[in-house]
Amino acid sequence: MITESISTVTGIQSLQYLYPLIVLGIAGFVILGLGLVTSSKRAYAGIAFGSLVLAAILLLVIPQNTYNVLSDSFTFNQFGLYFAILFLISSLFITLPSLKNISAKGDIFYALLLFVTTGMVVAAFTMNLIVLFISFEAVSIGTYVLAAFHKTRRTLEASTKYFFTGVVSTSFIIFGLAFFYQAMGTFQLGPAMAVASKPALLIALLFLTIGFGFKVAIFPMHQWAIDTYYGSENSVSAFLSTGSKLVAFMIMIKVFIIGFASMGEDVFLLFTLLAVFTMTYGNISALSTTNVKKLFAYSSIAQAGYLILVFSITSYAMWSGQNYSFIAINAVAAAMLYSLVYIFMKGGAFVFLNTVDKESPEFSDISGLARKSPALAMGLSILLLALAGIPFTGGFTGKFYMFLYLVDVKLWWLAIIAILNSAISVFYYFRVIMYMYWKPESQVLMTRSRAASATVLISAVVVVVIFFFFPLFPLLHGYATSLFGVTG
Amino acid sequence: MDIFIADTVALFLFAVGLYGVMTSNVGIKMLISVEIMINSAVIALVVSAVNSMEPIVLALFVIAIAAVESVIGVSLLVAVFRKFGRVSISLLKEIRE
Repeated sequence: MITESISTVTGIQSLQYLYPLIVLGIAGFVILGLGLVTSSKRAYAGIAFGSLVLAAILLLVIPQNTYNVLSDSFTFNQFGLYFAILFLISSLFITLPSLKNISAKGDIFYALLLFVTTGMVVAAFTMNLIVLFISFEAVSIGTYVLAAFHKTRRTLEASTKYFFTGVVSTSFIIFGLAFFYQAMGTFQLGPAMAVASKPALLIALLFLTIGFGFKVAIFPMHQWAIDTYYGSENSVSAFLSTGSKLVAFMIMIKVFIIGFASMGEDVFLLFTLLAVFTMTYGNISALSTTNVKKLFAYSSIAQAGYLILVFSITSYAMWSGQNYSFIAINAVAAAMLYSLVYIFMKGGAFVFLNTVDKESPEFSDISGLARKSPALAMGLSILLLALAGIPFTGGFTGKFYMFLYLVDVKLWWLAIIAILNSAISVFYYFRVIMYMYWKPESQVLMTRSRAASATVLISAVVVVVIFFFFPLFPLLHGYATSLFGVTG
Repeated sequence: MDIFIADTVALFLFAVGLYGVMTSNVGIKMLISVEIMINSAVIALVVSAVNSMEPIVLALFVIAIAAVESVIGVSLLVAVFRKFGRVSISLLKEIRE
């Protein structure tokens, strides 16, 4: 295994690592206080934007090595740094476009957004299950409120469904953690964990999979996701399907790859089954819908299926006794790359809905968009092609590495299922593009939301740039190593 | 062996709560069932604190988080009551058409 120098930081020196969190938290309270003085949405958005950027800069100046801070509660490594930056991006993504969605109580919206982001960054920087659980709950509870924002009939329904499934999943997670402790005797994820009781660990695996599976929206636990993504405000849907989903995914990487490293066979069987069903369900259901927002919701489920393939790769490498640490690092790096692309393509697609002057547009409402605003149609087309995994977009790169390592561990049949699924998905993404380019113009107006249009275009550019930026994967490979460096 | 008995009790309580959530149609009833589920998990946490206090620490946090969750839940249900007139979950079918 890899050994890396791990420094322990105690006392007042710990503070420099916590500055990004402090900045985000304080900015949240500042916005709440400002809400008493002014009701200018732009002021709140400006502070939120500024503090998110400042937090990102503060994260980047932390010396890049692995540090255990505050008696192992926090573990600052490059893996966490990368995901923390991703979470900040996913919040930045909706900061300005959501100005259009908010009519009142903008202070509460932006304060909640910052508090949720703080929870996400904490989750990125810890290997302790207690802290992981608390930060995960901070994210969940914040997003229940965000989903209900405006308290209209639609958002209330979306949030109530999200809330009840979310709370049930929380109790599954707590139960799973209890059994995990009974089996392992520790909450600290890390080197060579000794298993005391196999049956307890098996129950823990089942409960934790159900619990986190709800948040990532994998197949049997996906029902809430369609309603919530479809019912919430567009920018909140964007946040739920990027930031909130990736937090759960990142926690799953930590728990199921590091924590359950000794259970190769069971993890493999469980997650392969779930991945196959999730991909197939998401893609097949998306074929029949004619609503753009619902299509994005279904495709978001299908994408979760591709993401969790990483657990099949690592656990199969463990089970079949292949070069585990080498393959696991590659697989995690592939998952990290896919997460990066996923944020831009999915977030951009949901934010696009903000430019259409209708609550949940059908295909016919965006037909002829290419003539009304060519740039926007081009941007959305690139994002949809990326979601389908067409070459010359980052979506291809993400899927390529994921499927490459599937073949690498000789799971070629699973790779074929995944590629077939991508082929199915091309149909429904192309239907949207067809409506935009080859159908008569619809009467629905486009709003002049400059922030939303800019976000769509920027994400389209980034998605294309990722494809041509070849040193990215070796870089991520180094970052993924730091996750396993702790296990050295 | 003692842990086994306590785990069985906790799992039984968990099943009771899950049954309540799945069969009930009234929001408040579902909230109470969820509380039963979370508290059964707290029992499982507390009995696993054999060698160290770590699970107890988590249990304390869980109790606090459960309180926060019921606050959010009740306020959501109040908002639902104001919009829909009842807190029956079957009313929520605006999205599903």
